[in-house]
Amino acid sequence: MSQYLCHDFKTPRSDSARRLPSAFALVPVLFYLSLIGGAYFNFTSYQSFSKATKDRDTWKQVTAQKTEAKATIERNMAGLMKEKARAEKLAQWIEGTRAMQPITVAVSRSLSPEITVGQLTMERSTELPAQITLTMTLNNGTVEDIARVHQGINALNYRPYNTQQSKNGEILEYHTMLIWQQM
Amino acid sequence: MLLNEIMNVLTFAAFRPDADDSEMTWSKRFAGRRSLLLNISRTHSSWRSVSRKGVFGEVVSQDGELAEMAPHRAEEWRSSTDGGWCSVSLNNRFIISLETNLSRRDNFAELLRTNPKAVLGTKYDRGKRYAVFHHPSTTSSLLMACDDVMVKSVEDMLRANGLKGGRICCGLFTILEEKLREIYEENRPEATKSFLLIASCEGSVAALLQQDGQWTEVRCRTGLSTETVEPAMQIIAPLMQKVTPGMPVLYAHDGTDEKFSAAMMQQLQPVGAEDISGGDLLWKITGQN
Repeated sequence: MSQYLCHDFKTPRSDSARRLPSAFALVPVLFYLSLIGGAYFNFTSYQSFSKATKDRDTWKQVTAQKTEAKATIERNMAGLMKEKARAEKLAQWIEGTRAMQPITVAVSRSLSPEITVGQLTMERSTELPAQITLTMTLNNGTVEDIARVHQGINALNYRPYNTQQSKNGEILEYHTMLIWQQM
Repeated sequence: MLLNEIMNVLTFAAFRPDADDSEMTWSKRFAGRRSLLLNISRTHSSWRSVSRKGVFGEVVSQDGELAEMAPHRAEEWRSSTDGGWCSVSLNNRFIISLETNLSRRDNFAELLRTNPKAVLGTKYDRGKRYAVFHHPSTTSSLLMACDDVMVKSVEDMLRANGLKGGRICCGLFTILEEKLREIYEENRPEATKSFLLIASCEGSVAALLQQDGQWTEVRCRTGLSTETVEPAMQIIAPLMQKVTPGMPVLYAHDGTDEKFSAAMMQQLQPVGAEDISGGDLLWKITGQN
């Protein structure tokens, strides 16, 4: 049963505005919801911002640590590279210090029996051990003998450079620099 | 002003009914606020406060004309309200008549306040204020016409004493409206048959006769003495004569004068009258509806 609404015959007010429709109550409701929502998003945003700031500081610290670690590794790498270069040089030097006996043998085998060797000197460069200064004096030696000597030395992977030879009577002086050809 | 309107929207005050919004019940208008119910008759006035929880206070009454007692009681009335709002029921200088073919458009109650001629047509008298109750099944209507001068004088009196009239109604007519509404909406057996409804309120009496589902006659008189029931019985006597055996006779009274209502019931006993008032009928109607 509907509720009875009592009649009313008072003088109507002319200055009163009509009551707003109930549906319009959504306006303040939405306003308060937006306030609450805004406050919520502000709060969550502030939390996120604080976390992001904290994370940023943490990552900055991590980055600094990693940069320092990288610098340490680079220093170690530089040291290692330096060591490697020195080792390579040493290895190269050691590689260059080949035995000189085969050269002596090759030279003596390439000479004919009637030729005598007055002097045979081999000097290894201390800086460049692959270079050997060969000085040789041959009695009754000829240019053909020198060519055979060259062939023998070439077979040992040595190349003669800056060769000088001079014939003084029956004495043939031969001077060259042998450089070992690395395979 | 604009800020005030915005604040009203934000505090939802703009969506709550105004204290003088005639389209809302009193209890909804004054939920959480104190108000005063003022019952005025020619030589007697009574009042009762309504608390913030809707609980009625003690009934206070005083003999004498309202204009004389109001200045002395104004402070008491104001202090028992929030904002000085009161609901006034008038009990004299009105007449209830039976009309047919009145306009029943949806907003007829609002139109009666603002443009009564649109509802009443040629029956409109500019010196009157009106209220209407329509029979739900026929074209008959009960029309209450109250003296416009008296309504204005009551409004002026309230204004002069710092009070505001949230509602001005006719006590007797509200009782008739409420009881007729109960009969028809509850589909009581007599709703489509015959009955005699008698109502009394503060020296006013009205009787409505329905025969075979049709309102056939109404009699009303105001300003009667409440010392004795004889004048009231004389008014309703012609209708009492038309009561047939078995026809329900219903009696509703305001509940403020137990002596008068008991005497009325004694007089109506021979026709098997039933008191359908309940307690504090007038106060409940004006304080809740």
